[in-house]
Amino acid sequence: MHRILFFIALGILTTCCTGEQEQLRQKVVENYADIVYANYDDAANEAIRLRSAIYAFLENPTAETLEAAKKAWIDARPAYLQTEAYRFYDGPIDGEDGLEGLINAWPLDENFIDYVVDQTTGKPVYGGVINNPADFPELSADLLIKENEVHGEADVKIGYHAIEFLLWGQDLYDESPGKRPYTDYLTGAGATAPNGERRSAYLRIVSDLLVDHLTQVRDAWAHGSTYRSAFVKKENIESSLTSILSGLGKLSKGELAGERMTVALENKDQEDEHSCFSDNTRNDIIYNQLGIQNVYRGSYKRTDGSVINGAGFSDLVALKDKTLSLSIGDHIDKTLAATEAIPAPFDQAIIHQPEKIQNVIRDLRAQSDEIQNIAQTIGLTLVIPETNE
Amino acid sequence: MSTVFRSPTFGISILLSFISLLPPVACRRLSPEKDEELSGGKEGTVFLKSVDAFGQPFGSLTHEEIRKFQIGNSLNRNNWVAAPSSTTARDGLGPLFNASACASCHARDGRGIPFNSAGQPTQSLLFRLSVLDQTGKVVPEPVYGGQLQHQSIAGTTPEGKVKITYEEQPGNYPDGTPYSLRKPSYEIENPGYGPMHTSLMISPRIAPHMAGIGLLDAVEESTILEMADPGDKDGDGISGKPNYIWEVRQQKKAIGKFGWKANEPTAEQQIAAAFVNDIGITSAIFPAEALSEKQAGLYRGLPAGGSPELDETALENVVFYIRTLAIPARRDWDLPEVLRGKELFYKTGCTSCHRPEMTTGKNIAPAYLAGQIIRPYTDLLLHDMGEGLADNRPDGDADGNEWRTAPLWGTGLQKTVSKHAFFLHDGRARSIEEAILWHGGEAEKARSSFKALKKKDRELVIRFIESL
Repeated sequence: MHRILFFIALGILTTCCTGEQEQLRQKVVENYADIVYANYDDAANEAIRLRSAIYAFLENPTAETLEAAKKAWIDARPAYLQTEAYRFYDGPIDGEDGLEGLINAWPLDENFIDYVVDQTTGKPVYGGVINNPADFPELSADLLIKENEVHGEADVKIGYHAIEFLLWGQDLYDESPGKRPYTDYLTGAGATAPNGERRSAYLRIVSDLLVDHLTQVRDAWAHGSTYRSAFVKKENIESSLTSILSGLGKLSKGELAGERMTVALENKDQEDEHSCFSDNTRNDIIYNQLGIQNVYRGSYKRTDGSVINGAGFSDLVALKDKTLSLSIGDHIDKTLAATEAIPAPFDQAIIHQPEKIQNVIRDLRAQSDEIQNIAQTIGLTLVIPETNE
Repeated sequence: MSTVFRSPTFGISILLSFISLLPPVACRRLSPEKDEELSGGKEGTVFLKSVDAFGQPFGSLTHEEIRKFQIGNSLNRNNWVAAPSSTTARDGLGPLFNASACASCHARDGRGIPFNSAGQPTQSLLFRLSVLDQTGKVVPEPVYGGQLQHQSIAGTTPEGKVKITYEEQPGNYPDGTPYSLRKPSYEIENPGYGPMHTSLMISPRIAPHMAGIGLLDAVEESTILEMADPGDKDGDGISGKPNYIWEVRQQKKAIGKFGWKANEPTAEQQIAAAFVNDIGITSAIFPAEALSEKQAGLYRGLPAGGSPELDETALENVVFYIRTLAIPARRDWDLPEVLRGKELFYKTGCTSCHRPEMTTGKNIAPAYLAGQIIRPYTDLLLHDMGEGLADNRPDGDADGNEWRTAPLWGTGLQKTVSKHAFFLHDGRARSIEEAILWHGGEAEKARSSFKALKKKDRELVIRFIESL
């Protein structure tokens, strides 16, 4: 009996690792930090491109310039969505002063922003900051940030989804996304909604803010920054590895499988989906999963096509168990394929092909078990909770 | 699931007990009770001590139930928006409200952070309002209603903000160690609907953590009544009075179990009340917005987010979520110093009200809530807590001095989950120690016994409470 206890004690007291493992752990965390920086850099650059397209649209509102701005929004999403693999631990995006609530939060308080249609009467209600010059004479970034936090938490008035709403308008249609006309941004003759100028001002401000906020998150990961320096420090490697895996597990299970898919599937509410105005939710899911794959492999394909390739968790697992490393990789690839098999748009798939979504949910939940498996294999303790807050 | 959670804890506990065997123990060794660490019983205990500790389900939920749990969590976590909106399942906020999501106040299902950096109230500290009518009956403030709602949707007026001022009250332990307690007073600034009634009574209430609510919901009235002694017939100085409250679903009175004054009888009714009063979301239980007659007249034309705004299925899902939040297991329950602290906690008389153990009812659904031996450290009854803590505002059968014994389970994880150490109904206590020192009335004797302990022993009592 005592001998057994001795070995248990030994097992707990002996920490990591052989020299080889230790070096590899360090490399994995450093490569991860490089990838995170590059990925946020891409997201920020895409936001700059989006801002340019929006400015061009606002200077000359036409059907074509509006289409170009919408396309820039769609194109800006993949880079950001891959960065969600770096969420759900106390990192720069979600930590104490985290900016996530200003960047990508949901559901949107669209009613606070602009007119919406009252679905009981079918008539537009001209409310929101845009249509209320009496209470909000001057639109400014400070005002919108203050209002975003006015209820003490992220009530969502800015970020990607605010821009999405201002470009597409409400999605009241089965067969297409929102149909906001470019003429909402005109003043005088031809205008289809009052306060076109204020609408332009609001859109301009939120597209500026998105660039600012993404830049801040990116800079927090720059070489030499306080956060990154601590993250890759030798004595913090174990906790950094745990954070990374915990983030992947939470994105996979509680967030993607739970919050974003199960809830939408069960509610069967057309707009209970993240990118509800543009019908881009399927892409949201695919690129989230790609983000998980990036971290496992330790590689990231940048927006310009160049590739960062370094040590990943697959290598750490392989050091202990080559077969396992491959089978986890296979599962992650299979889950990515399952997300790609969701027919677009997501809001119709939840009604007509729920089994495709159930497949993804099943694979994502199994993937979180695999992530727990990664942790165990490389000597970490990790519990992935059912839900995240 | 629970076995996966358990194995590391088990390994460590074996290791720790192994170490504790090593040195020859001079003093009398205290030993833990069987399953003492399972605060939520065999079913309702979760082995997690991270920031997510209050947000986890019972281990035996089926796949189908996990889905329900996730949907409930989503409605609990995400914000509600003003109607009309594209997200029709999530609109109907206000017109007046305190917060736009359950999780705004119960962040990570924990106890809300009551103050901002300036020491002024956040949305997690709400204020009940009432006045005495001509017959001396307690009624809601005639223009503002029963609760101050400090926020409102566009085009409407918030009710006002509360300003807190504190007065430090120094004191000493019998051994000479000094301490200081801060007594708050409240003032309403910028009342949005004219001056408040002259006989206004204000009662502050912090949002408590939500883990374990389902288990308390599953405790039968007879179990609570066995602990009650309203007239103090046994003469031990401890009463224990049930607060009988109207139960809307059953259309009859039932013992209140939830809220700081035990003013809601079931988890479901507590949740529906919070939805309507705090967020402005109506349900089948409370179908009308929490507006006074005057306010209702002003806001008659505003669009609603459905009738009711939270439909029966959605309410069922949120209630399911909250009822199946498991309680985290004790930490360090078997360490000698914790066991010594526990012994002192019992000896000083804390357990007269903070009852360690009870068993949930037999015929409860879901079945895993039934027959659980739980350790909430409460009797769910009202006690006179003395002038110092009194809000002087009656609530149901509770008088102005009475409060429900707050359950202590989860207290030790508050700092981890909610990142603060403010205790009692209004957060005036800045530590567990201060919370104990505020106890008066029926708890006066227990407090004196605590104060008379040696400093080291007082620390052990707190160490024990932190293990809960």
